[in-house]
Amino acid sequence: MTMRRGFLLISIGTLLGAAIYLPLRLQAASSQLASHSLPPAEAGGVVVGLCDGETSIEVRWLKPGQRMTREQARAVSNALMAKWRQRHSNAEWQTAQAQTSQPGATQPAAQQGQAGATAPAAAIQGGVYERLTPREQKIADLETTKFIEEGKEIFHNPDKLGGTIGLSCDMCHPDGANTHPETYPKFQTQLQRVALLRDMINWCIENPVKGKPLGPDDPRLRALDAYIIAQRNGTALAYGKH
Amino acid sequence: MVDEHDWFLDMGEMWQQLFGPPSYSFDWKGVHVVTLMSVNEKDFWTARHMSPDERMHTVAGLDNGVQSRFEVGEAGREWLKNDLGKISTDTPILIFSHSPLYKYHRPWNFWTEDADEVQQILQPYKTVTVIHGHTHQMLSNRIGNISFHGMLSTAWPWPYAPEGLPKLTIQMDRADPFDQFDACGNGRFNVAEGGLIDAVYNLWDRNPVTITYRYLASSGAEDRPSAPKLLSY
Repeated sequence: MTMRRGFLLISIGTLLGAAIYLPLRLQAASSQLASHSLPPAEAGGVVVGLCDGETSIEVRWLKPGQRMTREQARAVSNALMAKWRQRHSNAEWQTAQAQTSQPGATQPAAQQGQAGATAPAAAIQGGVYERLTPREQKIADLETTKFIEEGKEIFHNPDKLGGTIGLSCDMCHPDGANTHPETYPKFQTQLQRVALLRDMINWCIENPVKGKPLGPDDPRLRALDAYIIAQRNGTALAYGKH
Repeated sequence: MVDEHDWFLDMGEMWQQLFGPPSYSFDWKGVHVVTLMSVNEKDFWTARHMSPDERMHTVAGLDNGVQSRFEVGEAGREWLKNDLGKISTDTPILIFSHSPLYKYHRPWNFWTEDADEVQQILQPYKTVTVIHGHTHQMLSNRIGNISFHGMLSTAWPWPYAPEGLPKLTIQMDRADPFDQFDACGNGRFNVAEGGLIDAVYNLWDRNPVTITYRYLASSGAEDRPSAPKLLSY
């Protein structure tokens, strides 16, 4: 056998081997991915699966492609949970609430057999605000702060204000000084009407800043409102004060 | 006299071409008059890769906290010490500066970082008056032997700072935003013998207010002007 023929044989062998081996390997990989094989619908409805990968129920009245109302969906998820509890009577179900209230929790909400993780303080009357989780509160605070920061950005930026002479609010109102949002509403002779904070914001944008007044739903006006009010946090309201 | 708007586009190149050195002095009828460059700033722009325009825009802002605090600086203080070394401690001194040569409100750069050192240089001299700009409001202070008068702006007024307002300051009445000239004005300084100075605030469309030398020297006990009806928010 010459070197060249030998080399050719080895190459063919390698290619054939790869052709057989690789597909098998990929197949094995795909079968390692978790999947929930739902049983087929028997009564013409839609089979809904629980996130544990095992439990499912058929919603007989639901046609494929049909959308459930919030109440219907809640009823279906309750039914799924009830079925799961039937099969795991000894397990303690950790609600999503308790799970996500722990900083750094990594277990998915569907894990069974969880016990002893701290739950939030028991609600007394069970109203919405009692049931706010620490996570929800944190998100609310972050969103509010972010919005106020947007307002601060605009407050300091002639272009974002739509000004035409390079003037921005901070140049007369550093840190929002002398904006006194707590004194509105008040009758402003010069405007011939009872003014709200946003009326003054728009007056300033139109006059010293030389831009166009912002519409009532303009996100910039709302953000400016938020920033200016935030700077006076804790100041007593005193509408009508000049 | 240099202010930050004159300086930070080209770091004073054009200004000095036109007007010469930013700090200088002369004698006038027995008073030693000094113009002191007090708005130097430590480099805040190089690390941030700012263009000259961006640098100028930054110093134009009051509350951005990016620019450095104003200072006379070591070279300026050396110059002042040498300059004042030529006169007797009895000679009345009148200093013009842009920033107040004391510490009023740091977040807005109503401030001179080395004010304490500058005041120490001025301490041996019996009669010192500082007339400054930058704050755009009626402002009065007295520290030791030094009287301070802030000048009005002819362009627009500024609110009083939430903290740091000198006790001796009589606030100007609240500005009417709908009148673009309200709380603006010019002024006059009457220099009496011995370099004792009365400051007359000429607020446009308002009654003038006089802050006498005696008012400051007596810590507000004498010649006290009336307070306005509406103080700052």
